[in-house]
Amino acid sequence: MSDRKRRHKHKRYNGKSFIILPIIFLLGTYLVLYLAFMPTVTTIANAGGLIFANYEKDFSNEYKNIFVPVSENSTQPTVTRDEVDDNGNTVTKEYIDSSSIEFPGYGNQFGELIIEDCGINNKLFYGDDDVALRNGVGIYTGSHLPGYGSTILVAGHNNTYFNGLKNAEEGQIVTIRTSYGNYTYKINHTAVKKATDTTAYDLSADRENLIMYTCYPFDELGLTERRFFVYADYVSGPQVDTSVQEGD
Amino acid sequence: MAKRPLSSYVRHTVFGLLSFILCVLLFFLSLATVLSVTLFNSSDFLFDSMNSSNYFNDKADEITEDLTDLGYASGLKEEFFDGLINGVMLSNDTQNYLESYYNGEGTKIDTTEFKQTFNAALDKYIDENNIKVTSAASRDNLVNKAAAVYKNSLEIPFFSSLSSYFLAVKAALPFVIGGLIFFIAVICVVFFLANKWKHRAVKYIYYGVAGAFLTVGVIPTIILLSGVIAKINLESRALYNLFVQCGNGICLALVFVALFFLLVAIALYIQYRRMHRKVS
Repeated sequence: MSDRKRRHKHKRYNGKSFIILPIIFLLGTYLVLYLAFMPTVTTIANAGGLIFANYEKDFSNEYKNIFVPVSENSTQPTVTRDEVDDNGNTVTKEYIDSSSIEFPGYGNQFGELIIEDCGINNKLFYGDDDVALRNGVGIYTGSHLPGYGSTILVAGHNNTYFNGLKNAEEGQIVTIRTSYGNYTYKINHTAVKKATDTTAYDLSADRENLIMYTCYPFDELGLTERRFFVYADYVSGPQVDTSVQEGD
Repeated sequence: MAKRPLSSYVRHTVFGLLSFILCVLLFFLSLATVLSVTLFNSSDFLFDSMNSSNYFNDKADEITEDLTDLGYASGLKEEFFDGLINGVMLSNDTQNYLESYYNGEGTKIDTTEFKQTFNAALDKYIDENNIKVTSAASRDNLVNKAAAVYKNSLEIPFFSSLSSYFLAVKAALPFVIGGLIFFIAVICVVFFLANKWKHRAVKYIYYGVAGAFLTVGVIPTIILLSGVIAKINLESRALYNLFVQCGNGICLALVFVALFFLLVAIALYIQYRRMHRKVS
């Protein structure tokens, strides 16, 4: 082959390979990485889904308030159920349709808790984290809401929103107002117990009752090991139909 | 025109594969170098990032807020905590924490100075308000709990659990970088020795470098443009800003490395064209 033909042979290689091959290398490198880390890709992707959200983080301390006071003439959608009472008679009872209730999210204000005799009129939150207790009193999420027929456990700080509990006495009325109804409870006794005493409350009780607690002694400087419990029995307020939730 | 001989295809395939390997090695070299200069260098990178991301002011606010919540349960008014968290103390304790971590001494946070400051403020508060402390145990409990809040707030999540892996990677990085540079040099030498026409060697090196430009630059560019780093779910504002700052910084560093590869690739291409014209 002559030198001219050999030199002409060099010119056959055009510029496309200078673009295409680097792109092929890009895809090839990521394919190699994917194959090398394939056993961990799903784990990493799942971890990423937990760590990263779909929106930028909001650091405001604002809480959501879903509480709308129930007016005197307002009515809630209800369902009726036939039940057997203690005497064996069939009675028809009316319950609030649970699907009509806006269930509060964690950290939402959804009501108010009032004890006039103790000078207490606080915002009521679902959840007892720092934001809730900074702004009012909060229901422990492992307990129940008013109207759900079991124990409602409410916490508050003894030096702020539950300072008035030091004046709590038997017979005083506690009112809880929510967007789906107003509830009243009557205090039956108070007790001082250790913070770790789990016999202080029964979260699986089958009758509606209210327990409020706070640190004890009141106005004490420092972190104490004791808690002041106020126990109240249900007096009035619409019951929520929970049977729909159990079946679904 | 005569067909290309089979040996030519084999030669192009082998050198093409070597170029691909060069691309992969350059990718890992870039990653290792950027990480060794930033995150795995010393505590200075993180500490400087903290200063520039307003970390200490945000952290002081967060600690004050947490201690105020503790105060609500302890009989302390909000005003007690105003100015309690000393920026200098916070900065020193954080720097000591980072240095002990990077030196392989574990995650140590000394709360002695904080406890002294807290106790002094508490004594002054008790005197000024004529408070009678009925239980020394409750007061001690409060001080210890406050110190725990301070310590927990200073700790960076997962630092402790990843400590052994972090230090192992930090120790291995210089050797990894050295090894990668060695193999890259070997491949380049092989290109030049195995090719009679030197412009072809330049071409194959160009393929590797241009591929590295794309490989190194694509993902950091997508991350920066999509803003995904800002969507990390961290409870602490101070840590969030620090993470965003560091993450964006590392991605930018990789983009600059990619641009460096682009410049080298362009220079190689120009050199290839010059050499190709001489032999054509």
